[in-house]
Amino acid sequence: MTTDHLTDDLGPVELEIARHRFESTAEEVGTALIRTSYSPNIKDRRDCSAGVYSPTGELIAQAEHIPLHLGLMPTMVRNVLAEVGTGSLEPGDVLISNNPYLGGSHLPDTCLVTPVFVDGRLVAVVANMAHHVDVGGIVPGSMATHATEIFQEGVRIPPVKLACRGELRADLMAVLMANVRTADKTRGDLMAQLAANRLGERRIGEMVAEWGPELFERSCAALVRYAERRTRAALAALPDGTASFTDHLEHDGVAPRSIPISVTVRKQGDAVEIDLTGSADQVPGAVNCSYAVTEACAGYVVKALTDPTLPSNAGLMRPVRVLTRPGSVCAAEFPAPVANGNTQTAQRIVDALLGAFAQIVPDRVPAASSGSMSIVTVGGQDPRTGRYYSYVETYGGGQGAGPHTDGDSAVHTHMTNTRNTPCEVIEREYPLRVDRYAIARGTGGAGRCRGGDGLIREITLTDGTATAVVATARVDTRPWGLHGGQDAVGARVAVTHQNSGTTELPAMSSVRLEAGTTLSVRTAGGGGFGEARPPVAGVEGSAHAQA
Amino acid sequence: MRPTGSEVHADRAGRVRVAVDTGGTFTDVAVRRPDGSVEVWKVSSSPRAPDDAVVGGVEEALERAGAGFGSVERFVHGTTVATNTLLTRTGARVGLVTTAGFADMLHIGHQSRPALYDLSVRRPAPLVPHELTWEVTERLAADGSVLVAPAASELDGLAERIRGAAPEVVVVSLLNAYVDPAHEQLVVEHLRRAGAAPSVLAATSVTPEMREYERTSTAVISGYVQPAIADYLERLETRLAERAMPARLWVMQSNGGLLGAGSAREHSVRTVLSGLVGGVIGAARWAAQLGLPQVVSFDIGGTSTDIALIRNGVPGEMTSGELEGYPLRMPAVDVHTIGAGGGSIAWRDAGGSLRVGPQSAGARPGPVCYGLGGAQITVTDAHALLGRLGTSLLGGRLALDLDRARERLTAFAGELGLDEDETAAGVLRVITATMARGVRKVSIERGIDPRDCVLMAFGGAGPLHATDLIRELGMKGAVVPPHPGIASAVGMLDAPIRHDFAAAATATSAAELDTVARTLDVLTADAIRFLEERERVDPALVTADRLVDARYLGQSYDLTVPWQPDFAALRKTFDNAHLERYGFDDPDAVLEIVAVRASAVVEAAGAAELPRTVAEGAPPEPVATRSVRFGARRHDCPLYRRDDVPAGVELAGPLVFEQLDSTVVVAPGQVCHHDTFGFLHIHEERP
Repeated sequence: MTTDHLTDDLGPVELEIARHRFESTAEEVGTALIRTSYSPNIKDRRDCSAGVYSPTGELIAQAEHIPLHLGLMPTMVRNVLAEVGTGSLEPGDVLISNNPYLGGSHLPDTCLVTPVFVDGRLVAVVANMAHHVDVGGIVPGSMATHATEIFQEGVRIPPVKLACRGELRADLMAVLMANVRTADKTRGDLMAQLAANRLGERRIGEMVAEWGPELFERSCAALVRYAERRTRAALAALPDGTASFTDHLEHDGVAPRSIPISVTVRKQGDAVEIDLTGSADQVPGAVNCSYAVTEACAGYVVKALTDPTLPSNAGLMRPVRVLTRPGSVCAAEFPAPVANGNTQTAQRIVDALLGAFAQIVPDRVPAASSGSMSIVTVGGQDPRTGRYYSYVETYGGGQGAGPHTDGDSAVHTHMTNTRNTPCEVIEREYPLRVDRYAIARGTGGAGRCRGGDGLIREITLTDGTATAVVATARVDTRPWGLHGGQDAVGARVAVTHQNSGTTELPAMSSVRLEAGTTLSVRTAGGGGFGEARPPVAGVEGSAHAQA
Repeated sequence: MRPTGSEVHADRAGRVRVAVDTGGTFTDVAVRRPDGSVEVWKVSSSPRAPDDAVVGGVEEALERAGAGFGSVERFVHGTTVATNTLLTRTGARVGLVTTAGFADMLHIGHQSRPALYDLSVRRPAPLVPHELTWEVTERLAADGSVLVAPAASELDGLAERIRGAAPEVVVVSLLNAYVDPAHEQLVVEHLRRAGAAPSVLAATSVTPEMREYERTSTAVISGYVQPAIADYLERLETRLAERAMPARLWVMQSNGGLLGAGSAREHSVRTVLSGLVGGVIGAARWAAQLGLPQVVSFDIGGTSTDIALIRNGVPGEMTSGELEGYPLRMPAVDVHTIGAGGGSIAWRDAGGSLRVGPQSAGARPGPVCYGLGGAQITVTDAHALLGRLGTSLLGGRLALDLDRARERLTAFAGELGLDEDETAAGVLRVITATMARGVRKVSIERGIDPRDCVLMAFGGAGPLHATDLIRELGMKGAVVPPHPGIASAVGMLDAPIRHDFAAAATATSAAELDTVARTLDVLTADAIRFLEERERVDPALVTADRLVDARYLGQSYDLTVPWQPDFAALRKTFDNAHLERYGFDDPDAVLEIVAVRASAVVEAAGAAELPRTVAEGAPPEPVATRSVRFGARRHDCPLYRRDDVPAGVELAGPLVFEQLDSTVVVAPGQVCHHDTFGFLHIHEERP
């Protein structure tokens, strides 16, 4: 280990300088995207990521705002480049795709890939991915839970050129815009994605001009090897061991059923194998995951449990072997619907991974968190303007307690970290009123360290009619506690019609709203850690132990 | 005694201006005599009672300047009391009243966690504990229509419950109050009448902008720091009055303008970045005076570096930011802080890379060479070991233990597999990359190429890094002010008096622009009246900037642009600003105005020109020669005392200037020019 860098092409100083340059370029692309996009998904919730890649699609540096994209985009970029063929690329070309089977997560996550040429030579690739507000399909917001094939989920864009030699392809844009409900926002967001990549392209041009193409290329390779060394060192510091764990999804999107997610973790030396081949076959509803999502979960857990500062590039995954079975819920194949694979299944894969790791490194693994990204979509035609709208938001929940810290309440955990949409923005942009936005007190599991509490959001449709889709989890199961800590209280979804009273709904449901109908979502708490000490009154909102 | 505008703004023979800036370690004082010469002084800060160091430091500085408190005509103060109150969580017991259903707003925050992968990091606990939040049954719709009006009977009970919990300050923040603050004001008035708490304030009176969490957070921060700031300023004013100081006490605000101590006691939230902006304001003024259109202000301290972009003498401004993880909606100088300073520690990570910071040795134990027990090589140690610093600092007051530093360097170099000089040079190259990343961020993200900028380098260590940075970034050059180590105090001497007002206003077409214009007229008149009545300045001296916050309809982030009564012209200005900032404009999008701002300013008299303090003369002789490493090798480098250098002199690097509060280095291939105002201008030698 100690003399590894001597065989490297870059010294310890050059390496660090290159890391700064690549990371700041990726960050700049991400920031530009957030600042100029139109849909609250990107600008407020930051459901997007940006990265710099080698010409073969190897990730060099990434600015990520949610961990889900950690493993996603690299697979997507690699496959998009392979499908189109780098030989057919020219300066000014921009590729687009949202195909989940190529490494996307679901259709709204649209990836724009910009090849960077210097003196006619492909030197790098800049890409960004953003969750679009609507890509068509059977429900507004394109996050149907009950789709049974991908054709119902919206428009699928194979890897094609969105721009050719600097010219936007108006015909392609016209086809896309004709198939989405919110063409104005989608158009604006795509323009923001294009412009953000252009910034990255410029920065890379400057780097190549400064360093020369040869040093630039060596730096890319060295940074990947550097990340690999660090990941291996971090893994080597963990004890070896093999452990298995099975957790379950409770709903496949179409109907309630128990779907096992089974993992075996084999940690040995400076590498780890994560085997999910024992998980369920792909299911009829939209909770199937693409392989890329599963790989992202593995990368997240490795980084979180070993060293949270590990660089996010291709080197991170080199010591991590992820085994899945094609056609399973963790590696879905065409034409399985996938819209909620990341919002539900990704979080459950993390739960299962943590359950297994808890047996190998019990002093590092927290109890289960709320277990879902709890995505809520309300869409329809606003009678006040005649326009289609889609309100999309993911709700935080209780965070699982750690070995030394209480879990936080009403917070995004694991594979997501989007920001909320302010209530005042919701009420300004959509025919919705927020009636309650509160912490679901008492839903966190008790323990030596307490699990965090879930979140309550109650919204009422004020005008017209709309379709609401709620996809959460842990309604019929509970986020588990660890080492004697209590399980958390699960989630609850209900709808209150003005005249017909309140109905409780399953974890995943689609419901028609009329003006005056109230949708109420309470997300699950987080599990507790360790046996509770004798009860202490009024621990609610207690100060968190700071590291 | 009622100071008049003329007293505040006119120079009088024999009268001095004083600026004092409280920092974490030192309190810096600058005293300027009528002839323009500046006396600077540094004393240790007194964190428990910052006014001790302020009064003591000023007393000593005045004595050195041959003046007394009685001759002070302007007294300007940058304080960290508000920031520290927040940092140490020692603020007021604040209560919060919200619309029913929203009492958890502060705890829920943005729902996002601060660290993506570190499972042990938590968000800071809300400044208002759960037991001090109350809800009131009332509701406005987003269009301002009343859904439920607050009931007097409920408010009576509420006042009772609040009294029982005994908060010092109560913030009332209701949903959609940015559209119409009537409900908020009604509740505030009711609670005040009922004596619910010593202080009750409406969130929209602190900031009237949309987004309930940000607005509430800002108002709560204001309430939280208010009593501490008020106490502190009252104590300081009393002590200055006891010394018969005739000038008023002016406090630096986050926006870079001054606020009277009386107003600052009320509008406390405006002082949270008070201690941070003095240097930027000075740099901006110097940039204007030296005729430098694009400047990056670069202030290096022990643990962090503050970077800001200055265009045409005006620092960038932001209206939304975060402090200690709490959102703050308040016009503030746009300062980007990075965790890199003289005390940043060098280490080797598991991947074999040489890393520097963000961990810092701080002032204690400090760098190894300070001999106070520091054991890890820092940036300052690297400078010392490469010969850039001599054998002592602060004019000999701090001897450097170079032997001990070299011992540690040898060990560290062994870990890395490099030789000692390579290692020390590597530490500087890495910190340069970190700092360059910071400079790129503030320039490029605002649409400015760093190659078109001049670096204004100050803070004790700024002039040590300027030479590397301008080379790394290809910048036009660097400028080092006369007293770089005390620049933030010196920079505040001539700060303008300023007050900002904002109001919500909506327009998407030329037809609606009249309403915006009227709102702006009222706002501007309010701003001028405020300065006249509250700050007691002559309204004839006030200039008012009119600005609008606008965006393309559907975006959520605004750009602030100068107001123009013609919609097409306003549109053009906005498109250009958007193009510059984000690399594209959108001619098809609808332009939406969301807020108006008025900024009323009174410039300090005599602030337009720099005093000529240095006479011309022949090039000086070096006082010594030292071996200093630049690039890949060591050079025999002449050493000058900066005070010996006359104006008009141009010297070629490599060279080192030493002065009491700083060390300036110039690399081989660079030249340095000393101007008549005492500024050093460094740039690459032109071929």
